[in-house]
Amino acid sequence: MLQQLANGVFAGSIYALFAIGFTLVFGILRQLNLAHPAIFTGGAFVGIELATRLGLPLWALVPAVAAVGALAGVLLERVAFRPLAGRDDEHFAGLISSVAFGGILIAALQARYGTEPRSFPSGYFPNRLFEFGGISVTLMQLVTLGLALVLMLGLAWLVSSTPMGRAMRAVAENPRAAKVLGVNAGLVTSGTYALSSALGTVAGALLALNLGQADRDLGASIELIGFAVIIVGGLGSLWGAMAAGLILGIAEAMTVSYFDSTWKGLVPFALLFVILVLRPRGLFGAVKVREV
Amino acid sequence: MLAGYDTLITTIALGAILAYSFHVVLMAGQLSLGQAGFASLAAYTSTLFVPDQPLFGSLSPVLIGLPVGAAVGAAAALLLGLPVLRLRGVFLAIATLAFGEMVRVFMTNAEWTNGALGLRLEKWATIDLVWLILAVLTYLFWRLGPSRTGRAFAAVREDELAAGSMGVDVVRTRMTSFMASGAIAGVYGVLFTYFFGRITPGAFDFSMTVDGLVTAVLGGYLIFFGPLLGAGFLTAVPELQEALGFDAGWIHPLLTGVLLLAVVLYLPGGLSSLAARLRPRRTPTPPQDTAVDDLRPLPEPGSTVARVRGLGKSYGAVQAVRDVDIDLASGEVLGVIGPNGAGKTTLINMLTGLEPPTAGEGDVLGVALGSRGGAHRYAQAGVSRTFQHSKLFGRLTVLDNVLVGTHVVSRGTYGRRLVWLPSARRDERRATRLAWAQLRRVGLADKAGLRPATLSYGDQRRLEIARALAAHPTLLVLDEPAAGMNHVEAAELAELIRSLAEDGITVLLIEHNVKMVVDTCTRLVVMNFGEVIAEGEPREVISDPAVIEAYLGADETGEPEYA
Amino acid sequence: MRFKRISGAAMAAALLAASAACVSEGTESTSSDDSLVGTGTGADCEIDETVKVGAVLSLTEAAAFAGGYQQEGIQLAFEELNAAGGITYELIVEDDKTSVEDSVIAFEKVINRDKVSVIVGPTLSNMAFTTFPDAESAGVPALGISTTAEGIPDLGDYIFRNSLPEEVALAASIPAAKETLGIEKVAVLYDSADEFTASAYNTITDVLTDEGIEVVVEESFETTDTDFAAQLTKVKERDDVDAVILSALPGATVPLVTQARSLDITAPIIGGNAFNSPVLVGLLADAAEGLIVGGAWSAASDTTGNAEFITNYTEKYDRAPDQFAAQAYTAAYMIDQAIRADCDANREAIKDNLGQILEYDSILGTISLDESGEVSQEPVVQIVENGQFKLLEG
Repeated sequence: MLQQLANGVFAGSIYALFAIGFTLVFGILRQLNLAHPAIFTGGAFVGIELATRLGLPLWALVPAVAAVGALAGVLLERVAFRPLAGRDDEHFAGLISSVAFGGILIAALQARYGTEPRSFPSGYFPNRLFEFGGISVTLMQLVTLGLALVLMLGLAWLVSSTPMGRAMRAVAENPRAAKVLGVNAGLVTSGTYALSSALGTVAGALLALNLGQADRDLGASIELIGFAVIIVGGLGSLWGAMAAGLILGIAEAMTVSYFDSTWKGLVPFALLFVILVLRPRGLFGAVKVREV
Repeated sequence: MLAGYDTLITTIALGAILAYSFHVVLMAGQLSLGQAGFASLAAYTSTLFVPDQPLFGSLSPVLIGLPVGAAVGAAAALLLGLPVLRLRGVFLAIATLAFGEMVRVFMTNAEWTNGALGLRLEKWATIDLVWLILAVLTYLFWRLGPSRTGRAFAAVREDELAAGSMGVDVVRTRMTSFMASGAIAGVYGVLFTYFFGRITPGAFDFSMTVDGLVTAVLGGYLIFFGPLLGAGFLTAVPELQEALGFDAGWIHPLLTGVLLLAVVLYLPGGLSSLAARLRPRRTPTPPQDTAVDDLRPLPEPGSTVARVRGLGKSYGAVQAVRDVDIDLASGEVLGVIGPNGAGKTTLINMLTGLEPPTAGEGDVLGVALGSRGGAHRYAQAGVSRTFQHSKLFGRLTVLDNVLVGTHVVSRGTYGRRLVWLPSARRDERRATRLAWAQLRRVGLADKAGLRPATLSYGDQRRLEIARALAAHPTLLVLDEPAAGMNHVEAAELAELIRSLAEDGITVLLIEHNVKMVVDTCTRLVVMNFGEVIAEGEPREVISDPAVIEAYLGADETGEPEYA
Repeated sequence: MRFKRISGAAMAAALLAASAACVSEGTESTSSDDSLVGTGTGADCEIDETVKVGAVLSLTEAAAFAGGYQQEGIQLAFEELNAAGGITYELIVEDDKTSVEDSVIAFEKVINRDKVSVIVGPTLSNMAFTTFPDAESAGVPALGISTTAEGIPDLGDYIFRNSLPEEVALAASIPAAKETLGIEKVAVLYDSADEFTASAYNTITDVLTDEGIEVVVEESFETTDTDFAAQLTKVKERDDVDAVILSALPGATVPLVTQARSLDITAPIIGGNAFNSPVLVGLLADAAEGLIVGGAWSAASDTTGNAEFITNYTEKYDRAPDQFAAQAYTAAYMIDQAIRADCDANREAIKDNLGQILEYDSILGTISLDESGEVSQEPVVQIVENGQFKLLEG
């Protein structure tokens, strides 16, 4: 029972990692960025390449991958979102243009890395098992959860206490008013995509390390669960995304534990559905439900 | 058919049919992504009904499956729509997507579907049948465009509030598009299953949803043949690419992505808008005679149009409107003035059904305040309005904007257009005459073919009035129609309002331009802080000290229009 | 006037509708082409006309991990055969993009436009169920090389496969493991969302029942799952699990086995055909140790030509072949065998002779096809030791 709870928490921390970058863009810019899964996948491949070629250890790999992700985020914003600014159908068109950008990115990954899955060099991450009061936990799981928490806290600090974060919140509150007050909205938008994509790539690399491999469908496999996480947590709520990730992870583990694992796949979506119908702003969402 | 290309050609048709199930919701502005779920439910259900022998010796058994599939798809959409259709945008998209995933997991784990192994079926659907169904669908959408229903779809897509105020039942229109999408997705599911002779839960997954959405958007959802164009294009690209000798696996997704991006960025209406652009642009020609003689007569002058008592509206702790009594008699021009934030707009929103009051009672043209159903019921009773910030239908022409206004005084024409009944054409012509008459009245007849965004600010206000007038209203509510107009334009507008009053239309006018209000209104109400502070003959009211004080306060915050 | 025109159009539409709704009957008549008949028999057979062979493989998308090897394997074989002389083959490879639609389109192309004599593929059974009936009604022999699902040969007289059915592979690996490791109680983990793995799961249950092995844990997951700790915990909670039997695609196998090993589940893991891949072992690295894999081919077996095949393949493509490559390679030789039997490369002749391949000595070992189209072959059972496949001697 406790073990399953722990399993759920660890599985959920991966969902949360994926979702915080996703939800950041929605919270601040009201845009659902469907290129996020592709960026995530890209992070995994870039991480593997850096670890294999340059032999970067994990502590150096995370910032390196994040830097690549930030660049990709800036590019994404320039190519797929900025040209749409001010158009009537901005949000809907952004949905489609981000799908297109994601498709292009995946095709580029395929051109470079082929169709076979890739993996980190063997022994890249030590395989250790700890026992705490009858619960077995791997080092990998601890690092994943720890990193998720650190990134969450860092992001929360950044949004609440830095000038950049204040500008972001101003834009989130009212883009027009923020502009009048002298906030450089273009910079904030670029910055948000850069930050979101940096988080996405790190999450992707971490998931690849977890799974022992990365293929082109890595992001797609977690995308739908990612939707569930950000809705259940409340679109735009960082803490909501973290909490919802854990809740879904635990709910899945409990389904396997007490019911039948064949129905595990239904759990996140049923939960999502119920939340959307009963409480569309999600468990922790303070954001007003807006139209896209 | 072309030997050796049958399947390729059929996949174009199948892709187009799938895209139509997205087209119909996008047309009405709904981002619904549950099509995979509808198609799966429909296809699996149809396998229970389709016989394993040809009907009457030679008819395809799918003919049984198609209506079953359409019915199952539509029914599933109805049941799903009841809880989720109050969601909008991304929330609707994700809720419907979740539905699709739940169906997939269910079908994977159910016994009768044989789980992931799927079922093998006879290939009963032939290329001819698939194309025939596509032809029927294309026909349905072709006839839908310039019909009353088609305009209602477009109006809901462009602006739900304005559509409701023009008498379009927004909830019903959204549900209709949702169910149509379900039915088409159901037909697609059945055809796909029986064309390939195989059904597995995995066939109806997220990537199918993305394919359908991409096809619909690439083709464009503003013109009826968009899906056909999108599907043809997406099928042709890889064939062309192979013919040119680029056969690396990543080229196809790359090409599709680049094309899609280019279309979204540079061709917002999709490929079909390009095709439409190639056609010489027809500027609509005005009819010679714009008289419409069968409109219902306006009520006798002096009879009651609206009567409300103790009307109030509070948002949490904020009391926007408090204890307002209003009586409106036919033929009156009632002005409502007051400083910003006085509650004027909230008041008329309640009178036109956009917001329910939190206190008070009464009725407007027989519709009780706060009754369920929304703005379209007030519109059907004869209330028509403009908005403070103009809410025009951006992707419709000036003429089409006004045509939406005729919704409440026209009969539905879609069904009759399908069978080419002459009476449908007569009704459409009548609506067009009505629309042209209003355009002439406000002086926009020479701009009928333009998009609203290309009009000057003053013209946009006039267009809103023309659209409102097209509904042949008993009560016309104008929310700051002169805002942003220069003195000449404002004077013309005042002239127009007087002439409307002479025709017997009751006018409720909110305006900051005091001169215009005094010139046009028969009676004046002054509001401040949500309450009525003065009421009566305009010239007397504006010399009331309380009114002057309220306005002097406002004057200091700088509202230059009162001069 | 107008009304007349409309009713005319309506009439035409109704007629069209009536004809479209009909089921067209009748299959194409297969005419034999004399230019495809040569002189001599067996090794001396010479045919002037180029013999066209179609290969419909999943070269992109989900099943590309298999299709790529298959393409290389079959290309290598036909190059060797062309070099040997007598018959000139033209291999036409089509990508089915791992989709049902494109596989049917590809079959239609090679059947009707390229007019091939025989088709190899498709890669997945899912596509075979919808493409093979088309080959059957067109009278074109089709030889599956990785379509291991139950019921494939029953699709028609023209349908064959040289791919060992999953039930045979598992029926060999489970008893072999039982014998060498003394297995009594097992945990079964399977992917319930995939057609191949769900089918294998059914086979596993049957074989376990036959062998009298008790299933103490049975859990499923989905192809795209990323975390299996919940299911693995249930395996770990039982301390009497002697082995874990896994039915999963490579995408889920790697994380699942890795997570099982890192959770200290030490029981041997047994799998079927899908495990038989050096890439998989490479990705798993240390976690692959002790995996027991049933399959149709092993790099370690000393079948006729196997060593040569591995050398040539590795040299040409710069990677080691896997079972997919080996089966595709063998398919080319079996087709050659069938054509040479009567020195006739017409569709009918190939169909007749493919069904009579008896104890052909291939890199897969001795292999036979019967008229029903089913293959019979001795499966190999391997165990991964020191990162290499070793034959598990029972």
